[in-house]
Amino acid sequence: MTIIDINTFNSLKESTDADFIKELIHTFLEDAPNQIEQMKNALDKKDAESFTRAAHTVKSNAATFGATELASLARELESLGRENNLEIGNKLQVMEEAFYQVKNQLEELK
Amino acid sequence: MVVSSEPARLLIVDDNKINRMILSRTLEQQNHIVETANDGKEGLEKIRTGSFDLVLLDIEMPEMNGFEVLEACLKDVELRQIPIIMTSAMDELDAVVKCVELGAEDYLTKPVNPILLRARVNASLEKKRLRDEIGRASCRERV
Repeated sequence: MTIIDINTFNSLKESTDADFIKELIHTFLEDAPNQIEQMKNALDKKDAESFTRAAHTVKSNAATFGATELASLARELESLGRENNLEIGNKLQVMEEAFYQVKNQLEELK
Repeated sequence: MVVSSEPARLLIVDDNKINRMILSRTLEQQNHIVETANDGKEGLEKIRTGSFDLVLLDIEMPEMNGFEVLEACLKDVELRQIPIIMTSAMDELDAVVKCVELGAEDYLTKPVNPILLRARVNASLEKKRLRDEIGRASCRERV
């Protein structure tokens, strides 16, 4: 699976101007670590609702930028959270690693 | 009165900052006047006080979700006149179907395609304009 689906990213880019894309990427890269942190805290507190909400946001934003693998990993965690199943093994760590790959690629693309 | 080429007052209700940014920017480029709300509760308060021509309403939100906001609007004689377009992720289509069956005007899946967004917003505004005209004509006939 590619880190960033370039067709999705280009569609987003074509729909607006370069400065706005930079602003969007900046917002995503700034907010996503907070959402990952929220997921970690929610796991500690066994707060499935908060966990699910943060995963939902990561999924939605990843899909916006064409980060298909990250979106897919976040979707899986969102589904588990919705089922109140927080026995997620290393899936959050895998998602976090995927986010940092996305971050590197978006920084090159902006 | 609003026609598709005239600026309309639009409210975007979405807890996701990036979604709010993209939707606002796309609609402001069409000269619409856009306000935003960060959750369902704030959204419903703004809908009640803001005289909006159309609302874009996310489904999955804290405080009140989009379904609850839609239900509250549809129970209100005044608010039910405002077209509401639901926005949701591709994997929430069951919830979207429920909203459309309940009375939502239309829906858009996220990531939102800007061309589709403009088309659906303008079509909904045009339908509202026609409904408003018919309403006014009925009132004149009764007088």
